[in-house]
Parts: sequence; structure tokens; C-alpha cells
Amino acid sequence: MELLTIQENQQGRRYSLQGVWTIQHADQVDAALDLIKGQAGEALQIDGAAIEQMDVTAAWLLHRHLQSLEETGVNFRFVDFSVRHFELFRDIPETPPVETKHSGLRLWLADIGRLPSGAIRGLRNGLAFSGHCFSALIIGLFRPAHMRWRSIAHHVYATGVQAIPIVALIALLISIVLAYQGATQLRNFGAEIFTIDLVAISVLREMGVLLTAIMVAGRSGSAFAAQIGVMKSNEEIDALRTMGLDPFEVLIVPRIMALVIALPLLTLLANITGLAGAALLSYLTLDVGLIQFLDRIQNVVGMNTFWVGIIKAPVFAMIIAMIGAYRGMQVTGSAESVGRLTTDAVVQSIFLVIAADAIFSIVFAKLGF
Amino acid sequence: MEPIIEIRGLVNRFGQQVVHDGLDMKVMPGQVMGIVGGSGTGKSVLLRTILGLNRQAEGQILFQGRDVDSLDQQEQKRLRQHWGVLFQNSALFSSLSVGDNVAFPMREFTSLSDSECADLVRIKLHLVGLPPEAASKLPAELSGGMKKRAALARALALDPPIIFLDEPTSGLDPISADAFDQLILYLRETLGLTVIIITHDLDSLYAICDHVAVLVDKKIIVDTLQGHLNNPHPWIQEYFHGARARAAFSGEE
Repeated sequence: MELLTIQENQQGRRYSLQGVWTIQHADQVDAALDLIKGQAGEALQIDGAAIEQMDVTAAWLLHRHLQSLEETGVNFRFVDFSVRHFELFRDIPETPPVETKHSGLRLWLADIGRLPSGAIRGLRNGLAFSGHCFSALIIGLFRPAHMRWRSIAHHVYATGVQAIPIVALIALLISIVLAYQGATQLRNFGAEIFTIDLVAISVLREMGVLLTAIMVAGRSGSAFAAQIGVMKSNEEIDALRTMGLDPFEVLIVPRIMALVIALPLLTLLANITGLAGAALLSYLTLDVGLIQFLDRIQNVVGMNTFWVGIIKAPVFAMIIAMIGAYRGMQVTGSAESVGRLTTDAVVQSIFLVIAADAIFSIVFAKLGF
Repeated sequence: MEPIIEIRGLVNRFGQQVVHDGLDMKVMPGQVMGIVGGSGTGKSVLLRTILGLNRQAEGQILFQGRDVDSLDQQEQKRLRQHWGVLFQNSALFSSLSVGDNVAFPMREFTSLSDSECADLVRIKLHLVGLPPEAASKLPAELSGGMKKRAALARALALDPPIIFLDEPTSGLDPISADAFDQLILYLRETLGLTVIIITHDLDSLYAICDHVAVLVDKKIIVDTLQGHLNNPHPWIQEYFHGARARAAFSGEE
């Protein structure tokens, strides 16, 4: 339906608005308003008698259009106009001007300056956080009666027991991959039997513990960050503090302890299933029976190979738990920051686990293990 | 005149527990209908059912004479776009600034240009009494009262004929709560809004509601304030004649 009709009468031009002027028909309203125009000094009549409905948006579009015409010297007279919305538009403050942007070069220099200062602040905060963690841990260890064993047991179950199927499956699969690739290459030298050495040593020294730690970082590091982050934004952490409890002692120490217990056990499990996978594949592709396989393992793999792998697990556990808790404690306010910091927690804990693994490799190589 | 919202024989159940057992209610255009009831009587469930967030076990909800459930999905969506809702915890999108929160429905559902949206955001913020600087702030940076106002501005973004308010004045100081009541009255007056409001604030109940629906004994009793004052039901008597109610009511006299 037409929203506007135009008539000429002796007083000048009369625009009769009619029908439904609402936000749902904003484009029609715009089109109708474009028809209202006049020269400087002309007097126009705006007739509102036939308006069925006019909402704030449409009234404002009309108001804005008439104002811009008024500036060019056109006059208006309202006839039968009962819509009251115009009073809403009086003294609406202007949006304050946006701060003047600096030039590209200055912003760029400021960004460069921000990098090291941010890094230094991050390092300082991280050190303060880990110091707080360690002091709470040590106090806890000297007062085992005050340790929250129930909470530790809960987290061992959530981070350890519930991770058993996925960790075992991954270790099995990765050892099958290693054995298969190794056997194909070593066959060229007629040294297929060394496949067993290859798989056993790489699983025990590196693969078992590293893959388990990465899996746990993804499962539990993220969970720690999200749990603590939501508690932070719900002011639950503040509630603990006002009760005189230290959130490090109540929330963070049990999580670190639980992961330090769970990760070595999961690594042991990964080692066992990894070797089982190797045994299975040796039987299928190398025609080596179980007895012969175990005999070979005993001859070539010393106890130190096992310890080199397992000793890294508690260190990785500390890294994962502390980064998860640290990022969780950094949450402020919104749900968005929970998501961002959870992502940060996973990425950084995986990175630091691999970096720590590299350092371990160099140190063990120098020590001759 | 045709009621804007009508509820017929509404039944809500959760498992074995019956929350509503046959509610009937009519809301006429331009009315301010307050919904009150003790904790756990299903005020929020009733609101969620009207809004289509909760499917009723039995009964009908009619909007301008049409059964909402008989409409197809597209029509239901279009209908609900034009209902303004102010949730109890404001429910502003935390990743968007206040201005973007208000502009969001306009950008999604209308053909308005960016500059028109920006101007309308300014008007809506002014309408609810927020300063223009608030537009660039994130919801997390606002106080509780300002969040409520920002959420109201978003609810009004598409000029709805009806708005639903879930405890709009809870958590506000008395002055802000008073100002909020005046704001609702002003909007009803100037925009001809229909308002359905869940509230525990007796002052605002007396100040702005012309009808009150009381949820009691799994039923609903709709009446004017005066009617409720004369109702012999013990809970209603206690609610409207308790010490707090007397204080609020005497202030209005």
C-alpha cells in the first residue's frame, strides 16, 4: 500500500501520510520520505490523519528527513498529527568524538614497545603465581592432615581413571605405526629384528610420556582453566578468600597433586599398551613370537630407558596443571575471556611440555643415559 | 477489543511435578500486567512458555487471536522477533559492545543502513536513560542498573508492541528502581506498549501495574490491585497485607 499521497491546495502542497509506518517496512518508509521535498521558502503541510501505526523508528526517519529539509529553508505545518514520538528526539546528546587516532608509524612503534613490556609483565606474573603454588604445595606436604585428599582423589579419577581408554588406544596405535614403518625400512638392510629395539626404546623414552602428556593437556589442562575461570567470574574465588581460605590451597594444590599422581600412572599404562602393540605387530609381520619378543626386550632395553621416560611425567604434570590454573585465575568478567584463556592454557601447556622434553633430551644425552 | 496475549488452559509438568494446572489469562493492549507468586510457583516457567523457550504439556497461547503453536516455524520466528524481552540477568551478548548489542536485532532483521542504525541506537540509549558514552562499553564494564537499561534498550530495538520483563528492578537501588518504573510508565504512555512484568518489588507493583496475576495453588488469579486486596485467599492476603506491602501501599496513597 502507498504510504503517502500528495495533493495541491490553495495553501500549498499537502502530504498525507497513511497506513502502517514501522521498522519492518523501513525501505518503503525511506522511499516514501524521498517524495517529500520542496524549495526554500515553500510551506508544506504534513497530514497525519490517516496514519494507522507509526513506531519510533519510522517517526525518527520522518523527523530526520524534515529536519534536513528545514535546513534548506523549507517550512512545515503539521495537520492532525497525533503521533507523539517527536518529543523523544529532543535533546538527544551527540556521541562523543572518538579519540584521535595516532599515525600508523606511532601505533606500530607503540606495538613494538608493548611486546617486551608485556613479556616482562607476563614473566613476573607467572613467577609470582608459580611461587605461590610451590609455597602452598610445600606447606601442604608438611601438613598432610590438612591436605584435601578427597579433592585429590576426585581429580585423580577425573584426569587419570577417565583418561585410561583414550590414552591406551593412542599408545597402541602409535606403536603400531612405528613398528610398521620401522619394519618396512629395516627390511632393506635385512635388519628387521631391530624393529623391536626401535619401537621399545622410542615408546619408553619419548612417545609414551609425550603423547600421554599432550592428551592430558588437552583433556585436563583445558578443564582446569575453564573450571577455575568460571569460578573466578562467578566471584567464587573471592568468596573463598573472604572465608579466610587460600584458593591456591583449596583449588590449585589438589589439582597439581592429582595430576602429578595420575600422569606417571597413565604413562606406565601407555608404555605397557605400546609394547603390547609392538609385540602384536612383531608377531604378525616379523613372525616373532611373544617369548622371543620379551627375550629381545630384556636384552636390549635397560631399566634406565624406562626411568628416562617415566621421570619426565611428574614434571610435565606440574607444567600442565600450573598453566591451566594460572590461565583460569586470569579470567575477568566475561564468558569470552574464559574461552580465550582456556585456549591459551592448552596451547601453552603443550608447547612447554615439548620444550621441556627437548631440554630433558639434551641433559640426558650429556649425562649419558 | 481483542487481547494481545491470551493463555487458555495452560498445563506445565516436569516429570511427576505439576507446575501449572490450567492457567487462563488475558492481556489487553496497553495493559501493564504484573505476575507475582511465591518462589517455585513457576513465574519464570510461565514467561518461558509464552516466549516459546519451554513447550507446554497442554493448552494454547494466542497472540493477537492466533494460536502461536498452529503457526509454521517461519511465522513463529517472525512473530517472536517483535517481542521485546528483558531477561533477569540482562543476557547482553558479552562479546559485543552495548551499542552493538542494541544494533544487533536491527542489523539482523531490518534494511536500515549503518548510519541509521547508529542514530537509532543513540535514540534508544537516550530513551532508557543511558549516556551516549555507554555505547562503546562492553557489558562487563557496566554496573547492574546500567546493564538492565542496556538490555531494555536492546529489547526496544525493533519497536515491539509488547515487552516482557523478568524482575527488572531486582538488584537496583531504590532510586534507580523508581526511575526504572517511571521509564516503563513513560514508554507505555508514549509508545503504547503492552508490558508483562514479573516482579517481587511491591513498590513497582503498586506504581506501574494496572492488573496483577497471582500464581497460587498451580492456578492463576488475575485481578486489579483493589480486587486482590479484597480476596480472602490466605496467601494473597498475606502478600498484599503484609508489613512490606502496607509500607509500599501507604506510600502510594
